[in-house]
Amino acid sequence: MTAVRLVLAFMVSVIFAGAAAAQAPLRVDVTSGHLDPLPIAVVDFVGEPGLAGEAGADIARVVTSDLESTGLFAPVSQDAFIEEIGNIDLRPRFSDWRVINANALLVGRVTVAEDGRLLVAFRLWDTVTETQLLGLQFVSVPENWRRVAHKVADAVYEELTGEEGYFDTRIVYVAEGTDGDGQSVRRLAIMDQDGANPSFLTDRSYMALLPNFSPSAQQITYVSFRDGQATSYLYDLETGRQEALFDAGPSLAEGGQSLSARFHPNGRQLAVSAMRRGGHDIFGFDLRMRTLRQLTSHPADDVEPSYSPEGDRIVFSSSRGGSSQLYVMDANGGEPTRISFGGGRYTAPVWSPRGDLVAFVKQQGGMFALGVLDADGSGEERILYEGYYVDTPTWSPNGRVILFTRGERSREGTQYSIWSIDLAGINLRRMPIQGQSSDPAWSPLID
Amino acid sequence: MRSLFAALLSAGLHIALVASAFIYFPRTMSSLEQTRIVPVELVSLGPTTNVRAARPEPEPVEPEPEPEPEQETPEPEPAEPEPEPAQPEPEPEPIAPEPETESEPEPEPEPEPIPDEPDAEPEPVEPEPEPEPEPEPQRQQGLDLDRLSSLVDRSRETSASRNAETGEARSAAGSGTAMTATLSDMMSSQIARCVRSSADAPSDMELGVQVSVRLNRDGTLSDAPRLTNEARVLGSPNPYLRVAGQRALRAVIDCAPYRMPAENYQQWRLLEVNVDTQAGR
Repeated sequence: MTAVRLVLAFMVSVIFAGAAAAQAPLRVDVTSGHLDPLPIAVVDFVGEPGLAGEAGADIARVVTSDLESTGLFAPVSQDAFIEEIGNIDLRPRFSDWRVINANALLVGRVTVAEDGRLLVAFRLWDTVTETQLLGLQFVSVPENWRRVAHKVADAVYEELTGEEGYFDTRIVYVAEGTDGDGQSVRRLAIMDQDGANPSFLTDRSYMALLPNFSPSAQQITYVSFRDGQATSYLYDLETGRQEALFDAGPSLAEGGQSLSARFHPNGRQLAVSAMRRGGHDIFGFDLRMRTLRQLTSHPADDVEPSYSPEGDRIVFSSSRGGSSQLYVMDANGGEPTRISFGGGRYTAPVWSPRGDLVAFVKQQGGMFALGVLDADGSGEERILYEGYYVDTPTWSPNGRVILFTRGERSREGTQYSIWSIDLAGINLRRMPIQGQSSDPAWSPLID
Repeated sequence: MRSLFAALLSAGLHIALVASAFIYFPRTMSSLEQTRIVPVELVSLGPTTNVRAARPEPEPVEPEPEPEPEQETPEPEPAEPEPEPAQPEPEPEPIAPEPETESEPEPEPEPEPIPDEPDAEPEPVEPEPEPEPEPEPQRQQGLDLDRLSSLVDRSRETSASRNAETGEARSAAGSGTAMTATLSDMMSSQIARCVRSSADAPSDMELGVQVSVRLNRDGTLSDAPRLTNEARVLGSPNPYLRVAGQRALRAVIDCAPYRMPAENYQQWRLLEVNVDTQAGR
């Protein structure tokens, strides 16, 4: 009988295998998708009336604004909300949120601790899969509520895009204007990335140009211009103390070359261009030793160096091939490799924090363009924006957005303002800065 | 005894023959799927196969599409205590890491996890899975010979003889492949409308994910779709892959119900959806 059972079991297993094979799933390959903004509902964070309640509404407003500004999210109007969130520790009624087409739902709560600090807790829900994607809490002093909001927005952004957020960052720029005598005034100013909390860093007595952040976001370098002489300065944002590093040369007045000093990712070195024996070359500057080390030596001008995120290479612009083009060399010097090959003049290269791209400005046929190309020189360049005047690109810390100076012709002459654009060439926006502005520098994420 | 054994052996061989058909045809279909862009071959197969034209699928066996279960939206109990945290409540933040001195006016907001999914409310009752027209054999703990015998009989019924008796066509290999390709394209285009592309992620990343989907005859999901290698995808250190997995799941749910031909239900009842939106860029 055992043999019979074995044979029967074998037959049955064959049948099951056959049945399973007969029900093989249909293979479906999905190789395309859309890039529409993700609809998200941001509910005012709940809180007791008073400080907590006000902060809750303010935080939701800033988070909404942050997310909307990226072009990747479409916040749903609060007027459309059906469910009223009173307790963020209860599961929301997902159908109420799906029916208003909110794919994601952010709810939060603000409470005031005994020591007076704000406790800001929030949950991010996927209303489609009905799962919680995120649950976090921040603690801060009440005055710091905007930073908390930016950190919440960063966390949401990162969870839903896979990219590091960039909202808790600051931007240093040059505020342009004229004094009572009609003389041009250029002062360094700093603001949050969304334009809030602007303040001046330098006074009207001299012109300040071309700021750049240190990796710690606590220091900036900039070029001060007094009496026809350009000098690189180091400015400590914590203390307000500043010190001259070295004379960058007179050629700002002569040729308008960018002489900005850019930090090495280790924060201990700078790459600069300085004039020696009649031409500009690239130098490494040791911040502790205060010494310059020459990295290029060519009769043509080598200017505008920018380190790769690993710090092992430098991209710069040079006229060594005739017109100004972009070159990459080892961070310790060596034979550079040309990476731009198009017509026109390529200037202002800045290495992407992701490491794969270099942003640049191209001048051709009386027009300017902002573009990106592969850092290894392969592939085609991509033009993101073209206009009357473009200069000084700077990357968001996640390499997704570029800020740049845009000049527009007007009766009063060229008007300068700072604009942002997504790496995909979409979502062109003017930064909310009063008056004219230029030379943006985007900070790393603030720790 | 010997005759019994011979009878069983004979039955076994017959069954093996039937089973081989089950194994052979699907394999043929899947292998030919790659050639779906050459319809000429498929057409030429038609006249040479002795397969009758498909009859309209009989009305679904189940009487009515199952009524939507009453969506339970339990009122939150007002006096409900704080939900039990899924993970232990973090210690009171060691948060004054930056003492509020004058030189440090802005203490950093430090993130700290709050309890995961609150299970404060009872989950809404899951809708019963719709009865399938051909119920799958229930798994048995032990080996039930009687039950297996009945399955053997049933498999005979569902094989070629049944086709001949009822006139219900089983797709020939060629036409099945063509239909498979069409069904696959129909599903793909519907899901693609709901997938957020990963085209803006760095190009050097492998972001393909696979979702297993089970559908009802009316195109609704019969249970929650699952990511193949869910732990690898959703627990990936690569946030782009994690997001790609979430987006694929969300898209499959969001786009349901799917409009598919009911007569081919058996072919699209189970789906293996491969989502790689970087592949198309």
